[in-house]
Amino acid sequence: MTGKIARWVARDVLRSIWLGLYTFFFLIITLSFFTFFDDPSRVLLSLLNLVLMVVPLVSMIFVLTYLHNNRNFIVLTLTQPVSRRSVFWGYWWGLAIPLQLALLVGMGLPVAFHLLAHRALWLASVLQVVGAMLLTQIFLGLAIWLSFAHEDRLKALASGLLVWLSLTFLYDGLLLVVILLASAYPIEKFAVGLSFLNPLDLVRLLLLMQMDVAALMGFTAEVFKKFLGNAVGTLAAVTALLIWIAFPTWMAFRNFMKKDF
Amino acid sequence: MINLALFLTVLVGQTPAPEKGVIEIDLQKTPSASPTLTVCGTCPRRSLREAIEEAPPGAVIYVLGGVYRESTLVIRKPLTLIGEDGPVLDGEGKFEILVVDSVDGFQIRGFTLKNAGISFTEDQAALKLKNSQNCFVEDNTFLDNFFAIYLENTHSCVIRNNRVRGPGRTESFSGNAIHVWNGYNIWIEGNHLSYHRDGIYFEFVRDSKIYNNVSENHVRYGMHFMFSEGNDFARNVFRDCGAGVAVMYSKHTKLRQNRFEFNWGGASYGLLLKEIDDTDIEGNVFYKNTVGLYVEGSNRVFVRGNTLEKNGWAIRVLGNSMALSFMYNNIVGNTFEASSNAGRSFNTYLHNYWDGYVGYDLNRDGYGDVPHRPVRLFTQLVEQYPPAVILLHSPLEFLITYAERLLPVLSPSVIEDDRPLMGRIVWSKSKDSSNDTDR
Amino acid sequence: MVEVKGLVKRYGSLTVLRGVDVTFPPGVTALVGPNASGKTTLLKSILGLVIPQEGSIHVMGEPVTGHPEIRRHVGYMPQMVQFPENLTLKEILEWVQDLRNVRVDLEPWVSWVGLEEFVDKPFGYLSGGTRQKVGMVAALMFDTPVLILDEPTAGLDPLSNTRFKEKIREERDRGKTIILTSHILSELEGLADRVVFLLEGKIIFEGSREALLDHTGKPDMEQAIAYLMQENGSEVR
Repeated sequence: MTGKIARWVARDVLRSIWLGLYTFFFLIITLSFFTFFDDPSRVLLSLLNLVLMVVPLVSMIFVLTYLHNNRNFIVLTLTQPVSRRSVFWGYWWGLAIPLQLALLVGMGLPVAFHLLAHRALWLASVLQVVGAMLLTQIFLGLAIWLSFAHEDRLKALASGLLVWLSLTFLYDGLLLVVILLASAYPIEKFAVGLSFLNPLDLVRLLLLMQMDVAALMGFTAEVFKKFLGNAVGTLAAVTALLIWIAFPTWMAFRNFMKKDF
Repeated sequence: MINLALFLTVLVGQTPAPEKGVIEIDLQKTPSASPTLTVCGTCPRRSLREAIEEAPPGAVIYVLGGVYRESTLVIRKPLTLIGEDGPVLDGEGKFEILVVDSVDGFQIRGFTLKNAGISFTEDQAALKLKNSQNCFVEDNTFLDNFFAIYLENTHSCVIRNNRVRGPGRTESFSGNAIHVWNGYNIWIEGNHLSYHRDGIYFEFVRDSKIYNNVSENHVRYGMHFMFSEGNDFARNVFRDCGAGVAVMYSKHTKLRQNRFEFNWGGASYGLLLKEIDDTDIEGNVFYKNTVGLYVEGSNRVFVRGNTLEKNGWAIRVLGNSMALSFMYNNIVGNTFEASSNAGRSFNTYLHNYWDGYVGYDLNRDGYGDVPHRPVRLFTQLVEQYPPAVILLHSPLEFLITYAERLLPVLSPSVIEDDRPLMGRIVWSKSKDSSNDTDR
Repeated sequence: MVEVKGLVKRYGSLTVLRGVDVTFPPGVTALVGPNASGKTTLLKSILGLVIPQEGSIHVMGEPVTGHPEIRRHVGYMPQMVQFPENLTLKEILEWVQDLRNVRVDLEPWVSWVGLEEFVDKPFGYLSGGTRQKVGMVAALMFDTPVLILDEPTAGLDPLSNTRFKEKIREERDRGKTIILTSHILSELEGLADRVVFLLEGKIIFEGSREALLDHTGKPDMEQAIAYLMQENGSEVR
């Protein structure tokens, strides 16, 4: 049943004009970056800003809006002889698949075509696309959580924006303040540790470490690489990202299962 | 712009003419009708050692193709060694190969010297010249030696068109390609140096010329010199070395039309200047280095007509430098244009082209109407709080930089170019070909 | 047949249903009561949308709570009919069939509501009344023994309204259990056999139309219900 629901949701979402625009936007941007910049690392770094800002924001707003526009229908679905579990996961997959497809077409395809011709920075390129997909999934989970936690559409949107703002800017702002205040101490390890807690920082640093920009980051990069160099570090990074997907999803699921609609 | 280009051509100077007058190497000490000896595997004389012992001062020894393993050969008289059909002198990983001691007039060409032994107690070299003068080292190949060409208390030498390739091991397992300690009138030209610890190493060297060499892939420095004076470096390429080029405690140096490129790593510099006075840096290209030009504790350094492109930091200037003049340079495509730890600057930055400049030129005179501040807020933060670099390329950095664009007063004024150029400087005779060397 | 026993529902400190015992036998039952009386919560409990703290609900003799498959007996038409905007009417009805794992011949239903020309139009293009008709079809097409209709006639044109009422009577005559709410009390006249009056989470009256008229001494249902509300200190809607 989950699969059936997911297929129908995905069919509906895939016809959304906004998703089309999102795909088109990334396609145009990625292609033009590859056309205008001769340097693949310049392309990746320019894309990185988009991936870190646009992907989470769009995922968040898109999912929140979709779920609220379809709230009454979701309720109707729940009055049919299907379990809540199926409805939840049906919507989770039904939203995730189109969003991921949009990224794959808008960004993955141009990157893949470019990789066919130029192998330079292939790992970083792949990481860029995978990172964007992970962030999509993370913000999808957060959006579903927030959507069912707030009955009011505006409240849900506002809290979604707040979460986005916090992870995108505020967290790094606080990190900067910590670094400035603790400048008397060797704080690199601590800063690297803090960066593991924010998925945006983690994805960004994982990508930068694959690029020659890492040389500019001196001791900080060394600490990061040293940590990632061993199995524990890699596991921690992967776990951190998976937790960022799993935790909001789990919270949303728990809430959905016992919620009064 | 054309006038400017002309002006700069004059400023930067044409290809420096070989100033032969400075180096007077007296080759007449080897008489024209010198006695000759021949060494080869099938000749009556098979041992180079014997030939060296037998040869009268000023003799010419011809060595034919073959591998010669004769441990360390010491030469104490003027001699000319000419290799024909590529003779190989093999140090077998144990010995120094040729040691020229207290000789006035020595020439070697056409040899391959390889496998000079590694030593942790002394600088074992393939060719060591000490207390000597008037020498010619030309058209030889040096392979997998600890040190390759080593000059000690030696002056008036030409080292030309040699190919020197080291073993490329770690720092302590490899010596320098060309090492000069205490000398003057040394002419190093057209050599290709690679995979040593340092490509060119100078300590206490005066009035020497270093032209048209390529020094690349060294473990540490492409060139490293200290306590030296009056040297002229032109049209060399220093590429892809662990730490780039470091120039320290020296003065009256000219660095012109060299390329410093691909010196990329945690502590790499295109060109590092430390306590350097009265030096001209003109018409060089700094391309894809972690730090293009790094200046510390230096005075009266003239940096003009250079192109600094796609470096991490184009320039980093520490506050203890004075009367630095940084003019008519192109600063293009760098991650950070400039950084300085100083509160205020005692240096001059003028008429450079910065591609990060967002000002305008209302009166159309080719110069921006508002000053350019190449040190961004984020750059300054990183300079003062290095761990802040963890925010590199983050949305927050984007936000800070965007805020600076809207409100330029936010940018630190440590470095200020009051009249930045609006367009990239193109030199009329373009030696600046940085665009076609992307790898 | 829907049986509710001792149903209690609290939202935080607010108690909405205070021990509701009520039986909906076959036939049309109008569920009435002022705003915030607990009507919606009661319906949602039967539909499994609201999880009550105490009590039990049986539909066709089977317990509802924790058993989503029981809802195969129930057809529901919500007050606000809404379907995914980008899917066509046909796709939407297919989706609903998928949810029930039941195949139904759609054509008679589509022609019944006169939506033949809209079959391949995305739902987003449809007007309010048309949407309401789609909701009607989705509720009725599975021929379920229980029908829950929440304000079903709001937004329908007079002709559709008449047809709809005919359909309801038809279904009643086939022995179905139909639970109906409406703000327009006159709508209930001639449709409801029984009335359940809910006030502040408690059943105040439960009985046949005749019993209600007897009880209140009023000539018709509209006035009878209005009287009940006034009696109990509520505003007439």
